[in-house]
Amino acid sequence: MKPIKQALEEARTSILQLALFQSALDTLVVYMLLLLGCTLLSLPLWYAVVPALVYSVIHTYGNLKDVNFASIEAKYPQLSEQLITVADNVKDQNEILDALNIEVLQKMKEIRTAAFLNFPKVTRELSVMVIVSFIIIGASAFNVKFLDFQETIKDLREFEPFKEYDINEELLQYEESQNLSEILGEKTIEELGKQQLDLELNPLMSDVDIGKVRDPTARTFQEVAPPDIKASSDTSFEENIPKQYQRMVKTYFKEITKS
Amino acid sequence: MKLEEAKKTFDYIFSELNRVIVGQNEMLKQVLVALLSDSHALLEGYPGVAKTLSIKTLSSLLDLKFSRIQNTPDLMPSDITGTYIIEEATSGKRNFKFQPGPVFANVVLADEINRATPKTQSALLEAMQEKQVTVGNSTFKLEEPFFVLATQNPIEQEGTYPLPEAQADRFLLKVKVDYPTFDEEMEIVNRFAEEVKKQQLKPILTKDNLVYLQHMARQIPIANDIKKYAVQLVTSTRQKKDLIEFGASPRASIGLILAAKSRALIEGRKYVSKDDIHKMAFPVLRHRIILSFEAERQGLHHDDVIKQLLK
Repeated sequence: MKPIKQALEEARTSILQLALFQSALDTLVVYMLLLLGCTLLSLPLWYAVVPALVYSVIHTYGNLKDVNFASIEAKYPQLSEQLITVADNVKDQNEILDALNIEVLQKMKEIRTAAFLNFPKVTRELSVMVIVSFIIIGASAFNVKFLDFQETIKDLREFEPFKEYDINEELLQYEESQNLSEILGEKTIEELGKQQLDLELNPLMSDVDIGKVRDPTARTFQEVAPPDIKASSDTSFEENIPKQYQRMVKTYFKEITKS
Repeated sequence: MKLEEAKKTFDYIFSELNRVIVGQNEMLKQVLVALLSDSHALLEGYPGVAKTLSIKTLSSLLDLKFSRIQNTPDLMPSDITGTYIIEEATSGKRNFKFQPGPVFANVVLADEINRATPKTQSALLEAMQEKQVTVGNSTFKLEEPFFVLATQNPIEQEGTYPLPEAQADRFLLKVKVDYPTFDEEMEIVNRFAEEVKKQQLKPILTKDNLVYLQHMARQIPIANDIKKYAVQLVTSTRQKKDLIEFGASPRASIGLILAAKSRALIEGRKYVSKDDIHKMAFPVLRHRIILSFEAERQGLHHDDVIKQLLK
């Protein structure tokens, strides 16, 4: 392997490791803060893990995307545009490129990995972690809680007015307050429900023209009646008309046949 | 020749040029860029700004065959390319013999190229492109290296034939020659208004050296990001429709990269920087874009538009 290729890979690996370390540290800070939140709100501690993991994935992806030779050049201006040129032409070979490789290799010796570590940021983050750790321990030891979140959720679920509240009833009331007869039709018809409907038919008002009624057509029936048919007398055919009304009934039927 | 030696050679060339030419360093550098890129340059500037003198001085530093064509409206293509003449042998027999024109040289100074008719311009531009000349049924190959360094002035346009964009595209660079600064002009006055002591210049670059340096320029490595930046710059001339009616062709992309490489070599750098692209964008693009009516209405010049593209 060419020395320049080896040097480039080494530099890249170092920067990559630093980026991963920085991401891990950032994630830890976020996790500690979430953990503190969970402690103070009496939430299960694993509630802090999921958001911390999501943050870690997104943050690490962003950090790794920025790992390139341009970031080294930004820290070391004397390598500006040379490192990317060498990296892009590592497979080629000519007199000038070889001279450039030697020059870059010489300048790369000045690269210090520590230069890529943001010391003030790391110090700040470590301090935050220490302080948050103490707060978590203290809060757990003295059972400090700002809010029992789970209890609150339980209370909310059992809140009585919610149970009595019926959305369908509310909607019905609303509908009643509106004039909806044009859309839904007559309310009196619609509201019959299971109530009994008493209908009285007046034969005189019928449209049936008895004069047009034809004689019944002769039909032949089976001589042998089925066994389940039984004949019996019906009291409805028995004349049970009081004597003083018998004449009136007879006249009525005579008159009715005339019409 | 190593890169360090090449740098020393260029520094020496510039110091020799500065013995004759006052200022105009950027113009001289751009002309040298055209030579190293094995291409041609068009110098545009007002009369009396040392266009012709610069090229004559540069050619005297090169150990190459130099010729000058003073373009006029009555100049014929055969005056450039050469023609067949009748030659009488000692036996009395007469033969046609080809008499090469001034184009058969390594460095051709085409002075006031826009004064020649389009027909004559075409003959020269064909020689520039093909590096060969056809006279009658015979084709003559021009000797390598072959450069045309043409000049034109932007004023007195009456009776001139401005180069069409398609033909101007054959020139790698259009070098703008500006007026000198006050101090430079004072130096010019001191140097030339008194007893003129003719500077004796010795050739520095031989033909082989120049060819080797051209080869070296092409070897200068360039980062992919910078290459992309150059191509994006050229393609952006085709996309900025509000200011540019017709943008630069892919030939401009090739030219820009080559010119940037040559500039890096002149400066003794082993790589192409973004600054090279910025500096060379103006001479490479200014004659390859046609401004829109809107740009002209706003009073913008080619360089103003290129500046906007570079932002």
